[in-house]
Amino acid sequence: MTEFRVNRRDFLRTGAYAGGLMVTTSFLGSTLAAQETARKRNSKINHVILLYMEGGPSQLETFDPKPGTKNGGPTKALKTEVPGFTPADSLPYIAKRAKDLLLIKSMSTREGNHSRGAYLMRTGYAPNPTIKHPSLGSIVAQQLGNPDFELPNFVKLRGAPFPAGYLGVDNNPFVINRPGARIENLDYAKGVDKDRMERRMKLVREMEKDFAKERGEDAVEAHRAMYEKARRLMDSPLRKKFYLDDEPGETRKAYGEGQFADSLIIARRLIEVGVPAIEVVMGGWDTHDDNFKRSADLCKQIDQPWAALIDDLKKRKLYDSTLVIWMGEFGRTPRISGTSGRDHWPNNFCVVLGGGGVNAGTVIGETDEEGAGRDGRGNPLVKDPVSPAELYKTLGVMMDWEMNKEFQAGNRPMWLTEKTAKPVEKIFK
Amino acid sequence: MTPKLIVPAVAALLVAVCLVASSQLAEGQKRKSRTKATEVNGKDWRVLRDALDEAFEEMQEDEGIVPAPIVDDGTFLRRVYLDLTGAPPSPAEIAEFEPGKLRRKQTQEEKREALVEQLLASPEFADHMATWWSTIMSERRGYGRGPSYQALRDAFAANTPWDKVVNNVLAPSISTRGKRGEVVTYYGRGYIEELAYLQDFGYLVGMPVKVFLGRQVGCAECHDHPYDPYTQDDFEAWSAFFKTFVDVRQVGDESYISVGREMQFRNTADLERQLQLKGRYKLPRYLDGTDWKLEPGKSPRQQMADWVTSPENPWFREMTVNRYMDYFMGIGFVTPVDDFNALNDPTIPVILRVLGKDFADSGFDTRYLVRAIVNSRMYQRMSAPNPSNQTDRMLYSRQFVRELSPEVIERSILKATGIERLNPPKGISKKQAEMNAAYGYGSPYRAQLRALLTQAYEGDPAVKDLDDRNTNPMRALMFMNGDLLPDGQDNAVKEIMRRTADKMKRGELIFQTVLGRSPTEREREILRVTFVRWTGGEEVYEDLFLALMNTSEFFNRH
Repeated sequence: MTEFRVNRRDFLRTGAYAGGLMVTTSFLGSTLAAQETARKRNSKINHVILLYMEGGPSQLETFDPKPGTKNGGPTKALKTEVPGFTPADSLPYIAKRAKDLLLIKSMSTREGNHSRGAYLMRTGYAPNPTIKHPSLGSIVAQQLGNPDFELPNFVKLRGAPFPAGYLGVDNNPFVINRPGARIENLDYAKGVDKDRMERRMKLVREMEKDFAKERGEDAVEAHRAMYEKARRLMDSPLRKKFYLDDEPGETRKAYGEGQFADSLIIARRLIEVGVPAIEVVMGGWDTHDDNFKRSADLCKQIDQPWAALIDDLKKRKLYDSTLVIWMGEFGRTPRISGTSGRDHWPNNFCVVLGGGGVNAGTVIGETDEEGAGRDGRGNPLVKDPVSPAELYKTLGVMMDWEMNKEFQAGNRPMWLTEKTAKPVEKIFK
Repeated sequence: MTPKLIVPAVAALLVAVCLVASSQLAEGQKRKSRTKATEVNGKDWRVLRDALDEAFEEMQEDEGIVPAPIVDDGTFLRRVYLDLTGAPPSPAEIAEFEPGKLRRKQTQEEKREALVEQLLASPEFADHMATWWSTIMSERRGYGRGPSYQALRDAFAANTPWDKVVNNVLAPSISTRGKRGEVVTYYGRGYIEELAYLQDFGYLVGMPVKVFLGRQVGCAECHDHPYDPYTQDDFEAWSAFFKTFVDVRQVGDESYISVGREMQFRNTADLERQLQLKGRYKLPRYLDGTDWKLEPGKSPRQQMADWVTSPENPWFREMTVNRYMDYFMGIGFVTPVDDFNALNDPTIPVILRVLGKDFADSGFDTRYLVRAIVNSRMYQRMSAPNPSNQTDRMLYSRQFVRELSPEVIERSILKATGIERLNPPKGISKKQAEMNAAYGYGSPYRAQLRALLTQAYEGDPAVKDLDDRNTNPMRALMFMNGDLLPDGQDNAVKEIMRRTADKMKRGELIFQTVLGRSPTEREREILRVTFVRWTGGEEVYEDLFLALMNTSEFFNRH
């Protein structure tokens, strides 16, 4: 028989160490996180609002129209105070705020598939089957948020939940499916008031004692923390910030009508009371057919509310501490398809930034008359291309994220942004 | 470090050590060999069980670790019901087991063994195992319960050998597709076809390797693997097995994956030509570096499935036993459970090897494996730590408190509230009812519950174990304020109130219904005080029911 020689003591030590860690993470995790986020950041940005356009908005029907050219279609362009910033004619409100915005015309990736492209744009990393990257809102929640805050640090208005991956469930988005409507399960059930719930919870605490003492102290602790968080949310006076009931008619009028408008008002109400990360999702941009009419219609839905948000934040002196980002997963083909549509086009598309620290009134990148030329090999010719990794690095620099910190994802090291990527300095300088 | 440490586990595992009980490990537990067999042989699960117990107990003793005592009947009952059927026992099932009592001439060991046999034969076992495996296989993406749910359910009910099950999952034979008993899916396709719906070739090619072999090749789609010897070239060669029936086309800027008919090849040159037509030229190669050779009458896909599930393939058998240990013991030999790599050594490689080999020798009999584990002392230990075993995560000197999966929570709620059982649907055909059961569908109540749970757990398959507790307040909100006992429908609380007017009896039944165990003396005292002080109406029973459903015990198995 073979003799297996194993240094078991060594194993045991690593095992024990790992075991010890595992047992304590749920306690220490939050305390440690609290200490870490209490770190003094060298940035005046305290909030991020991501306006996420699901489906891939056409750059040619939003911020890079080419009227009068072969690929331009019927979309016209508006002149603004900023050279090169010539949005589509369905964005008149935004056109007037060109000086408050920075336009990237040369966002460029290779992901022409919705879920992969969305993952890349939301996280700064390409999807990888062995790892789960946090999305922008989760990073902001973890880096800028206060873990003891009574409202969630990341609120997502519509859209599918996107788990925070290795940053842990504490930084998951709190998803509101129907902005403005009553949030499911946030209110006491019928026939239950605060007293009755308190009676129940007292019973819960009593009934947990044996379990805690004998077997799962840490499980019970994590469980209690979760309930405490939920109950603080249920009883919080700030809860009304999720709804529009007490918002003056004047503001509501300024934002206009529609779900996107309502979402933006809620976003503003939430950052006003300290929520660091908001994502507003608007779908419908996958315009494979009838692109021109549909795009114009979608633009109309975002134009006035977005402009109103800029004005509103400025009025409340929040624009300088809030970063507003408009993006989708990719752009659309310059060539117009047989169904008057445009297909997926990750080679060059637009991202718009505004607010805190942004070098507003600037345009980065340029495309040629056809919407994008190609070199001899078929690669797109785009001036000053920006990759998602570079964009996220830039955001990290602007908000002073801990980009050198090594996070553990399973058993491999991870960084909030791609290590080798360089920030695009033009965005903030 | 003293290099003198020869693992006695080997001795203990390969040759049963008929040691006379020499030391008292814990109260009432004498270390002794319970069988006279000499070697693990893939035939008698008791031999394997004893070998595991002895190996770990010997190591515990060497390390000065005192293992936790064996749990009482009530705790065992709840644990084994949750692990094998995916829900705690009902009051009737508790009564049937009679915790703490023994029949004449019956030992505790025999009594528990009989229960395990009963559960293994139940439809709930097959259902729960199928749910468990299909969530692993789908990572909770895609439709319904994920790939192959119904087929897996049938396979677990029939105790089909695991290599056969996986072989069928990877390469369902065309002629038998759709026949009952074969591993096919709702769509009449195999696992690969279902993965193909996700439109990501790297995922499609990498998932079977991750799920069944515990290796991560997905990384090598874009770059050479950082710490395993997989290169992009290896990935492409492995992908070629799939390319013979999966077509990846680039249309415009979107890639489409379609699944075509499997092709038959006359010779290697023929396959080469076919692969060339599909864009990338590369002959298949197995992941261990073995070259592919044409076998008449077999498709490359079938050959791939045969290689994966071969008894000679150590990855397959070791990955499977690792997953079962991880599931039943809270941690496997390799963690994360499906990440075997050069930098991630197993805790005790020799036991993993022997256990894997024995599982293969048993004919890949998963029930054999389950019997050996759940009838062992290591499985039946208490989870409460003592100073000596507090940090032990590898010698199994105590059980672990494990957070239950959303699927088990769903099943537990359905069983506890009794909504589906007490409100049978009207006007539903027998066939429809069968279909619902087969695909894990059910009442509108279940659909709503599932939607809520999906949101509360954010569809996150990473929810697992102590290192990643779900602290999302959405879950607490759902359990505190959600409509778990809808108005106008009969439920378990009402049923209990009809059954008895005795307050304490009602309290006890509610306790058993929700938590799957009887209240302790202290808890009975709390019930008594609650009922005495209570001046309101009968809503106190509903309050008790919902309160228990909000305890952390409800969400954990310990």
